[in-house]
Amino acid sequence: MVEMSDIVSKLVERTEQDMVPWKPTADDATFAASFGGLSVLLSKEGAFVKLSVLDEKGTEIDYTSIQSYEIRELHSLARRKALGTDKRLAELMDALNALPL
Amino acid sequence: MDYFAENWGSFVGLLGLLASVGGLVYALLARRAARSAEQAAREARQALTHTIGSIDVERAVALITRLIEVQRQGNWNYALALYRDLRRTLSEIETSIPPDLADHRDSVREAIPQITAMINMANRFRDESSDIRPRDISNQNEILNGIQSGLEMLQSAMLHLDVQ
Repeated sequence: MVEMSDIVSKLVERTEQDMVPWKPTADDATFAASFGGLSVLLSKEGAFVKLSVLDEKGTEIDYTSIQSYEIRELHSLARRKALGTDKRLAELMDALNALPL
Repeated sequence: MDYFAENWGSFVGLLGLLASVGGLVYALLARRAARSAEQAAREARQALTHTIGSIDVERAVALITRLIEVQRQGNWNYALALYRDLRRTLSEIETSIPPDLADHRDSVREAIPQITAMINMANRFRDESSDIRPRDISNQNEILNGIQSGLEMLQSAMLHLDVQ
């Protein structure tokens, strides 16, 4: 049986490989990713991070709400991917380098 | 008469050949008719699915317009009902999108978890109205407007398919 902790670990691994299509949502602290008919929502709720698995109709079919290092790391990675942080920082660095001496 | 008597075997053979050709032609015509009927039924089913899908798209667009208004008024109970209706409608639209429009189907699929995220927000706002920031409402409206634009493009693509 697949446990939610296995899903968290796999999401960390695949996000680090840039294979998870994280998207921002209307909630600044929540990020979404879709995989065919299934999708996940990753939300920060105080000290906890909640990972929900949704079915094709958007109904939550399972969730975990924990405060482990791994899930906080996943939230941070998802945020960076969803907002394109790495690309924007590279743009900023280029702009700074282009400033006259 | 003598000629017929001497060659009757050839005439029987010719009649047999004609009967075989006739049978083959009949079988081909019958097969073509069956195929046309099957194709017509398939096209009718597709047209019906597109029509239902198109009605659902119009309904979803109307729900989004209403949602933006209801959120502005701060009526979160009503907004929640509209969000759930919108999510159900999007799920129905997703199943009616023909395979040729896979990109549009992916957009609708991606919209469904977005709606769930907004349902979670609306639940929070209903229970704790002090949590609401103007930025949250503008984020919600922005996502809803994006979904609406996607639906309008889908509707146009479905009409284009029907014309073809």
